[in-house]
Parts: sequence; structure tokens; C-alpha cells
Amino acid sequence: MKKPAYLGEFEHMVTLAVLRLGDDAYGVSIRKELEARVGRKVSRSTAYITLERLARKGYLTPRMADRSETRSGKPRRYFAVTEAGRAALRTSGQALMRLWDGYEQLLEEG
Amino acid sequence: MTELHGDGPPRLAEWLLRVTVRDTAASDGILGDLMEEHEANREGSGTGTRARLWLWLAILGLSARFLFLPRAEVPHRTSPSAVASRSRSNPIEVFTQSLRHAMRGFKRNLGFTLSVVAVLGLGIGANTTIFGAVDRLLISPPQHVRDADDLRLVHIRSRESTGEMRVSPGISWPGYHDLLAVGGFDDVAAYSRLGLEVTVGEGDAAHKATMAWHSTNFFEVLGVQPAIGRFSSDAEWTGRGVSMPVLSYEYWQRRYGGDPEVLGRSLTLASMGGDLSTHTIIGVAPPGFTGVELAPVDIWFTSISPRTAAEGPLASRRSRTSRAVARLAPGVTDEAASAEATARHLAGYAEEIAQNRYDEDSEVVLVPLVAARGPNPTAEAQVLRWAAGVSFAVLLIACFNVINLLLTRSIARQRETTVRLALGVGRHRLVCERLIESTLFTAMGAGAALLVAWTVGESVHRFLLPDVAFSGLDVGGRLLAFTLLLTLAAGLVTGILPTAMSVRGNIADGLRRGDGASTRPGSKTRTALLVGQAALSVVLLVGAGLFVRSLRAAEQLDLGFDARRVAVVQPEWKREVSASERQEALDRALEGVRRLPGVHSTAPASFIPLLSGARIRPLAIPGSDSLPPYPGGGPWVFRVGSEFFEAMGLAILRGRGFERSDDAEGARPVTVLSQSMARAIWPNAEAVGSCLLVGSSEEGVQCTEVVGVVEDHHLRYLVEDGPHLMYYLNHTHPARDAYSFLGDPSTRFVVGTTGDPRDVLDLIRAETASASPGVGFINVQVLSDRLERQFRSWMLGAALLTGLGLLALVVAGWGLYSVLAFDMALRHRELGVRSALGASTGSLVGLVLRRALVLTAGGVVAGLAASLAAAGLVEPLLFRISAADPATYAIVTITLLFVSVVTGVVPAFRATRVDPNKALQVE
Repeated sequence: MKKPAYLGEFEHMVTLAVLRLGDDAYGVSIRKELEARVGRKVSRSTAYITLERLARKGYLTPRMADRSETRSGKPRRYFAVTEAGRAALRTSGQALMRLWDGYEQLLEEG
Repeated sequence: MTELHGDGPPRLAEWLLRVTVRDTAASDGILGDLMEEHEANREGSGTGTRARLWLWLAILGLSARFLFLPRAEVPHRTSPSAVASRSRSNPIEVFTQSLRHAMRGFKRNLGFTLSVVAVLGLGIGANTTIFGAVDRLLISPPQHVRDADDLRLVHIRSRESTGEMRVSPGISWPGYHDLLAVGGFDDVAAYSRLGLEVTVGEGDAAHKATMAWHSTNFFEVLGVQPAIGRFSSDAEWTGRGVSMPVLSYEYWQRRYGGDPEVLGRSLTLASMGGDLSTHTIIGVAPPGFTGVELAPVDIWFTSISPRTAAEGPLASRRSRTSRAVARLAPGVTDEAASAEATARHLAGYAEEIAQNRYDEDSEVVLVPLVAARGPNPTAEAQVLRWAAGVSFAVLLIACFNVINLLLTRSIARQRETTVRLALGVGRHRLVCERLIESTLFTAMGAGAALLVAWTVGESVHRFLLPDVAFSGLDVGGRLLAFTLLLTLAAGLVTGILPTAMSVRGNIADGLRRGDGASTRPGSKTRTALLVGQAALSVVLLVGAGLFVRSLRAAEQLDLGFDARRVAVVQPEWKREVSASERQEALDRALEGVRRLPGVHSTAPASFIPLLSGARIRPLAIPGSDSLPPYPGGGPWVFRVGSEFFEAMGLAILRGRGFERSDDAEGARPVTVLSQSMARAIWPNAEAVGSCLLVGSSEEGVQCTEVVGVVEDHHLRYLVEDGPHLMYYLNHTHPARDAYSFLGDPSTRFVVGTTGDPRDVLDLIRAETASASPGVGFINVQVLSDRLERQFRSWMLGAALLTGLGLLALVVAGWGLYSVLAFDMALRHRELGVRSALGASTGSLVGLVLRRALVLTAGGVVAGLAASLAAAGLVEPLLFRISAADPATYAIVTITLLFVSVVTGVVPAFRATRVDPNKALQVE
């Protein structure tokens, strides 16, 4: 039986950001999205390394856009969440939910 | 340099990202993102520089992160299994992973890393520093000389009148002309011995400088270019006396602060006779240029042209004051050129050979510039050989020490190694890791070594070879190559043994043994290394002790006079000052200086021991045919003032010394004899009151009464054949006018001081200057300074061996400590058991100290044996002390044993603190 795939915390965050950004998910926008939503600075190198790792694992799929007028002519590298990525998100999310189960009330009381 | 050209990304940055990210699409995407942020930054901040700085920092940060990313994280479209298999087979991959592994290890054990690097840094540093001097003296061609391989120094090998064959660089001017006619030479330049002294300037501004003269084609033959200005050319040569001085770069910096306006300025020189001449400076030589030899030269003078005719004083073939350097014509061999030059040389000397005044078998020897310094067993070469040997011994000690440390660590890491082997990591991979680790250690050590060489190298060179010009430490290719070679060798030497020990052995055994600390593999090797370190330290310290004792013996040697309490004053008079004016000025100076505080006597002297020696002059003794031959030679004559013996600290043994009344007009001529002379002439009678016949029959022989006998003293050197025959004439002895050999006492006088003469040197100079307005330059020095060169070999030996010997002792002591400490850690359980069984603190301390003493004693015995074996080699270098000096050996032995006890104290203390309960629980 294949082991269910789990995402690490930052992988989880990055995959969610890509999913949310849809067709506009590339390096700069993903970092901005993460920083805006999580409210903390995201290291550039950590973000790119995670994106490449997720791509290697088959959870994200990269796509090169056409050459750009700006960016010194360098095209954007867009990412999209693959079916495997969605499955891993679901598995990890559900695992987290199950872990969270009952804690919200506890934390609020505490 | 890579620029941010327009809006495009820097090409270097693009390349850097491609190489480190290792995926073109990914790196292009990242670079595009960075450029997008960069454009936004530039619009936001408005300053391009800050935005560019930001971009570069971002690129470098990203590149560094990707570079050190584990292989599995690198964005490659390959499966993990393929990555693993590649990592096993790809040597570059193995290398980078091993490198990362080693770097992590260094960071984890920073203290260990630093100590290994320090030990290697000192060991390699000592060798690198010494190599700088060896390279300058024995390997490098002279600096700035074009095609130095084609240049040859011209030497003449001929038989002396004593029958001895001698190779000399001296060439006569006609002999130089002979060489000019040799077709095998492109050109030949003449030059003088380097380091001649000249007085520059006049009055208070006068100072001494070193000079050399040369022919007009000298710089052209050497192919040297000036730093600024120009060199002389033969075309502008108009006759003798034109000197066109060129300053050395160092003198230009020192005296003129590197002012380019120095060109065209005039330079005033005072010759020995007091003549002043003025010359216009035409150029400055490049830094470090010393011609074809090594002695520093301040000013180069063009004093002759190859066209200058061999006539007048230059016509003599016997006066060989020039030296010659020739450039071989293309395609001409040394043999051919030498044969042709020899033929020309012998033809030139045909007349002398016919009269049997010159050796018909003389030949011209062509010596390559570098080799010219080697075969002569100069003091410098001797010292360098010593220094190289000693520094190599220090490197050996350092390597032994590092091997020991690495061995100790490999034992500590045994379990890690065994587990990794069990997990399938190949032995070759482990070997690679360990070797890389030890090479990295030595590489860092090499960095420290270069730092050592760079900071102290120049001072060490000046200390070792004060007569050689060094212009800063030249960290050139050869020095770096040597350091690299030494580093690789040390890396292999220190790596192989610990590596072999760490990866051998049975995995199952290793795992069964648990923490691996219950056994002590390699303990014999470590003991042997420790004994080796101690033995080498003993050899170095014995050497140091012998040289220190030699130096002390030399310093305490009774020369007869006390050179440390005598100052010598040598005024150089201008030519226009008459002899009577000089005499008056000198009398005033003698009186003035005598009144200075700390001065007890002053006396003029024709010659001064150690400084100017004396002259041999035959004399007659009434009733005797000749003087008996004497081992020390003589008789040497001095003409001195009345306070000479007091000033020099020479004791009058019988009779009296000179008195002022002896120099009064009409007084009888008197003499004082040295003890040996008195004994040689009148072995059975009293010399005082006898008569000595001074002078020759033509001039009228003077009966000079012997009024006293003074103690024997040395004449020139620390080591002399035996006591000399010496006699002293009073200052106004009638022989002074008849015999110019007696010298001119108005050129120098001695000053006897009660304390260190250095305290009053300035006062003496000022007093002499105020008394003698006609003086050009006053040279004042302490007589003992003349001995410095003679002391040098022992001083160098003592300093080198003491410094490096103590260093070796510290390293070896520390090695002993680490081994003891580690042993005690391994024997933790045993100590616990002993303690539980009631072992006393004393017995536990004794256990540790005994081990320390046994290890050291082994090293001491081996070291003493080695020292005794080498005694024959060292003996000739020592001064009045045996190379098997028992006192030195005893002191070194006690020192080593003391150090071993000191290093054993901390481990012994730890041994007494072992808690038996905890020690037994661990198991």
C-alpha cells in the first residue's frame, strides 16, 4: 500500500499559496502572498528551494511563460498544483484538522 | 569586471545562478524574479547603486544556499535512487559531500580544529619563512635582471704564490679589456665589490651610504629598467669623474621619501681624503635591485666606460679591483666561451707568465649568477642550512602531534565509523573523507603559515641574513608553490595513518564492542609518535643549550681589553685642513671628551685592536740576531697616546705605561711590550730597562727604552692562533715621521668609559664636532660592535634553536597532555574500579604521572642518544664547549621531565575525581 503523502509546514503553506494564486503563481507573487497572509518575512532562498522541491516531488508543475518585456527579458516561471499536490494537501490538511480537533476550545479557555 | 549593463542582468550573476541551481529553466525563472524586484527597487529608491547592491547580495545569497544544498534537494529531474548511485560513483560528488562533512565536523569541534591548525600553521610557517630566505639566497635569479640564465660572473682560477689554487672574482682593467674581445660574449660589464662605504653630504647632514661603481654598460648588460629617471649610457661618457648616480629604490624611499623630484638634484660626496664632489642624480633603480649580487647598495655610480683606456693607474694587471659580468652570445656554450676567454686572458698575461710572475695554468671560470652563491660555504649559507634543518624538525614535531590528535579523534569516532560502514558507506568514501579532512586541516594550517611568514618573515630574514638586501616579503609563485607542496605532503603524512587505522577492522567486532572506547587501537603508534616528539624536542633543546653556552663562553672570553667599555672615534677630515690644524683639533677633542661624564680616559692610536689591527714591523734587539718565531706572529706595532692602556682597560704588569712627559719635546723615545713579546725576547731577564732598536739602518736606528710590560690581548678575532708579539711606541716617537707605516693617529682615538659607552656616544660626537670645525664626518662606535659579526653564528644558533626548541617543547608537552587526558578518559572505568577498591588519591595520581614520566623518559633517552650521535657534526660550530656537554644534557633532561609532570597534573587531578558509582554505571 502506498504511503499517504504529507507536506512539511512550509511546503503546506507554499502549496496553498500557489493554489490560491491560480494562474498568477510565480516566485515573486507566491512570496508576497505568503508574507501578506502569514504576516512574516519569507526567505527568498527558502521559498525557491521549497518550490523546486515540490516540483521535484511532483506536487507542483512549472510552466515557462513567454519572454517578457520587462524582467530583462526573462520569462516568468509559473507553478500549478498537480493532482498529486492536491491529494497531499488534502492528506496533510485532514491530518492537521484531526490533530486540531478539540484544541481550539481548549486554547480559547486557557 | 562584470557590470550591470543597462537593464540586463550581470552576466556573472546569470552564470553563477546557472551553475549553483543546476537547472536552466529554474535559474532563468529565479533571475527573472530577481530582475523584476530589482526594477521595482530602482523605481522605489531612485538610486541605482543601492538597487545594484541589493541585487548582488540577493544573487550571492541564493547561489550560496543552492551550492550547499544536499544533492537530493537539487532540482534535477532524476529519481532518488539515481541520485544515490551517482553520488557513489561521481568523484566530484563524493568530494563535495566529503568537503561538506568535514566542514560540519570543523564547526562542531572548533577547539580541536583551531589547535590542529595552530600546530600545523607554526610548523609550516617556520618552513615557509625560512624558505623565503633560501629562495632569495640560493634559488632565485637576481631581481629585475633580464634573461638571467644567459649571464655569467667571470672568475679567474689561478695558483697563488703559496701553491694554493684559488678562484677569485677580481679582474684587472686590462684583464677586463681582454674579456671585451671575447666573441662568445655579447657584452661584458665591470662593477665593484658591493657595500663599499661613502660619506654623503657634509656637516650635520652627512651620513654613510653603501655604494658600488660600475661601467656605463652595466644596466644595459643586465637588461634592467629604472623605476624612475634613466640609467647612464656610454654615449654620454666624457671621462673619469663623471658619476651619474642612480639611487636604489630603498635609499630613495628612506632619504627622499620617494619624492619623484629627486631627479636632477645634486648629491655631495666626501671621499676618504676629504674631497667633496657633487653629482647629479639621474635615476632610481627598481625595488630590490642589487645588481648580480645580494648585498644592499644605496647608490650606483657610473665611474668608468668600457672605452676607458688601460693606462696610468689602470694599466696594472696586478691590481684586480674590478669584477665582470658577461652576457653569453646566442648559441654559445659555457665551455666554448670559457675556452676563448681563457686563451685571451693568458695572451694578455703573456709578459707576466714569461717572467714567471703569473700562473700559466690560470683559467677563466664562468659562473651562473645563482650558482655563484651556492658552493661557497659562506656564513649565510651555513646559517640557512641550519635554519632549514631546524624548521624541518619543527614541522616533523607538528606532524607527529597532529597525527596523534587525529588518531585520538578517530578512536573517539570509532563507533560512528563502524555504524556508517555497517550502513553500507564504502570504505573508499570514508578514506576520501578522512584524507580531505586532514588536507583541509593542513590547508588552513598553510593559511596560518602564510600569515606567519607575512608578518614575521621579513624580520626573520633580516635577522638571519643582515648582509642581504630584502625588500619586503615576496609572496611570489615559488613561495606559494613551496607552501602548497609542503601542505599536501603534511596533509598526506598526517592523514594516512589515522585514516588507515579508522577504517580498518571488523564491523561486527566494532558494533559488538559498543562505544569503542573500551579498546585502545593504535596505542603503540601513539606512544611511538609521542616519544618521537619528545626526542626531537630534546635534540633541539640540546642544540639550543650548546649554542647558548657557546655564546656565553665567547662573550665572557677575556680579550685582554674590555671592548664593551671602549668607544672609538674616527673623524674624517676635509682635505683643506692642514696636519697641524688637525693635531690641534684632535688635542681639543681629546681634552673635551675626557671631561664628559662617564669618560675616564682618551688616547689617540695609530691602530686599534679589532678595528684596524696593526702592522708588522721588523726590529732589532741588541745582542740578538732575530726574534724567535711565534705562533701568533708579529711583532705588531702600535703608536698610542699616554692614556691608551687605561682607556682600553689593559693592565700594566711590570714597569709603567706611557706618561704625558714621554710625549714632551726632547723626551727619550720609550716603548711598552706585550707580555709575550717581553718573554720571547728576554725569557730569562727583565725586559723593563732594556733597549729595542726601532727603525732601519737608512733612517737611523733608535734605541727605544722598554718602560713597561702590558698584558697580552687579542688583535683581530675572538679566536686567534695564540698570543702575539706586540709593542707600543709613545705618541711622539721619532719613528713616526720616518715610517708612514705607523699610521696617522689623528684619524682615530679611543675613549674609555666607566659605564656603557652607548650612553655617551652622542655627547662624544658633539664634543668632537665642536672641537674640530674642519671635520667632514665623525664615525663613533662601541668597540664591542666590531665583534658582532664574529658572534653572529652562535647568536643565530642560540636564538633559532632556543626559539624553535621552546616551541617544540610546548607542542610536545601539549601532545603529551592530550594523550594522557585521552588515556585517562578511556580508562575511566578502570579508575572507577580502582577507586571503589580503595585506591588512595596518591596512588591514582602516581598512576598518571608514572605514565607521563615513562613516555617522556623514552623520548629523552632517544633524544639524548640522537644528540650524542650528531655531536660530531655540531662540534666545529661550538665555541670552547663540548658537544657532549654533561651540564646541557642534564638541564634538558630535567626540563623535559618537569614539563611531563606539569602536563600530567590536570589528567591526574581528573583521575582522582572519578566517581566509582558513575564510572561503573556507564557500563
